[in-house]
Amino acid sequence: MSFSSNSWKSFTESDEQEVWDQLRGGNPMALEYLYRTYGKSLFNFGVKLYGRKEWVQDTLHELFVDLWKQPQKLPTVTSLKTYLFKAFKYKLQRQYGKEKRWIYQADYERLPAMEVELPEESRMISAQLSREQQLKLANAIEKLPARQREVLHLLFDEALSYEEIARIMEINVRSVYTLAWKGISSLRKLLIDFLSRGEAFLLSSTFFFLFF
Amino acid sequence: MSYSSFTVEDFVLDKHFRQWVLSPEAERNLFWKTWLAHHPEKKEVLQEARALILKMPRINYGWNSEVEDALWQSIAQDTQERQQAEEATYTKIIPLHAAAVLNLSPHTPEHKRWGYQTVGSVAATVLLVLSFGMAAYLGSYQRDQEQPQPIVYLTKQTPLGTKARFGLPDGTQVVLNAGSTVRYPEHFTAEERRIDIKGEAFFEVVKDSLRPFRVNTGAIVTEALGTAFNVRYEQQIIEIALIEGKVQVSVDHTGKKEDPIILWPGEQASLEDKKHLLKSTFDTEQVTAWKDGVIFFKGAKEQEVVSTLERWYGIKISTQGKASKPWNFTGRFQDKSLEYVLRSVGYTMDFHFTMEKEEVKIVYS
Repeated sequence: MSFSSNSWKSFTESDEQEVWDQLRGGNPMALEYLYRTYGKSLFNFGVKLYGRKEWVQDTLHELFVDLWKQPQKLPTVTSLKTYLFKAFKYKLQRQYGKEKRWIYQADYERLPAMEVELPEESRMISAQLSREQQLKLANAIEKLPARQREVLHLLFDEALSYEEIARIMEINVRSVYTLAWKGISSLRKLLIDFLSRGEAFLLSSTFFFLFF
Repeated sequence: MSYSSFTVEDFVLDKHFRQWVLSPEAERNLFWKTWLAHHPEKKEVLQEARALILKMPRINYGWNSEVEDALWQSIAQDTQERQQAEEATYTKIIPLHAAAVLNLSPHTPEHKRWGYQTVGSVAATVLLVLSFGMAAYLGSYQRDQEQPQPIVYLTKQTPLGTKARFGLPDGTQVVLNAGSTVRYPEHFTAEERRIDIKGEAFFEVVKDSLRPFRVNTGAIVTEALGTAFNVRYEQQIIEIALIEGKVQVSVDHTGKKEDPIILWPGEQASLEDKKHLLKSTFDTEQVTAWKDGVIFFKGAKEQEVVSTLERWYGIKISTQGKASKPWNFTGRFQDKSLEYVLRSVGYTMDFHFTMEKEEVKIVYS
């Protein structure tokens, strides 16, 4: 098996089923394509859930090595992303269970260093938003109950649908919505605090009125 | 639920509203402008929802191209090593543990439970004996493995020299031979009970006419139609031998399915040229002895004896010189040491041997 650099990029034009079939057929470029496409998302998802960056990286390593173990035995999947997230989450949970003792201690050090990235679509508008506010919101999200945090991450950072999130978390769509609602509700209270202090409120509402 | 009863949270969580906020194109603008004209009292709600969406931070915990490349390097290295290790399984030297040999003893009560008399008395079970080698991947996609959702798989693995027994989710009992792996879903689907095998395993399958029991081995799928069979899969040779009842064997080579063949007791199918199934007959004890801790040879050639002992005892055998007569060894060893077996075979086939750590050298007289 060879891992020549950049050859995985030939998959960029392929649809997901094709990539998955290639992986199941033992094409190493398909594995690299999946890694290059979803590695970052999976990593951030893992850290969002469990903190510990290095541990999440190790588990991500294992996930991909496992995908390669018996690629022909992988199931048919309808959504690659959902499958990878679910498989990764399962792996994290199992690994976490195994190593609970030492993770628990280190758990107090959750909240690793993070940087706020601006969503592509709103970059122009967001450029005018206060960086400080976003960091405050980011910190508020980190402090939400784990499952609310998970839903909001999958919904906003990964732009997954409620149905996909329901499959990853193995709960029903209604519960996903409820968790998201509670999470947003908490963040909203925080935002109202900002707004009542008047900062950036005018800016964002000016923009708002442009569309009417 | 209509938009007029939406709260701020509902708007934030509404896909269409979010799309409009994040990428306000003409059509969406028109929709929301019209809607707001009809619900002017909702203006503040929309404003707040919009502010929340725009401020929603996207967080990165330090992933960058350096991290990505470094982690990929380690994954690529690991997958390559694993592949090489798997290809070398048959020749790998593995230390022989006394405990592992003791575990092979057929005198333990658990082993007795798995004897033929027990199995035969259970009417509603199927007896399967499977033995697969670590053969090269044959290039098939199991397209019929359609699952609406990702399935959680469990894997049981035994090191060389140790067996394990356990139950599958449907109650089917499995005895796993040394150096073997079984992978199965945490829950079988409503349509089938499908498992993957590498190495060698013995199954007592719970009867379930609605959910066939299917065993995947590379390009081969073996389906129990009602009773008992035995599969051998070594290097490029695949043999499926039926002990009792009926099985269906099919090949799926590079997506092109051949007609399945049905086996009757005493018949075996073998895969030739990685493509076609051929029927022949076999000796039951020969293929099922392992589960009772018995090494069984019948008219065996040098290659068969050597590879069987290498796998059984986790050692490496080399030969020096040539046999004085054609190999044709028949013998049955139960709970015997490697030295004992080698001495017996050597007596018949006229060789002596030396043992050094895990390496055995056979020297023909």
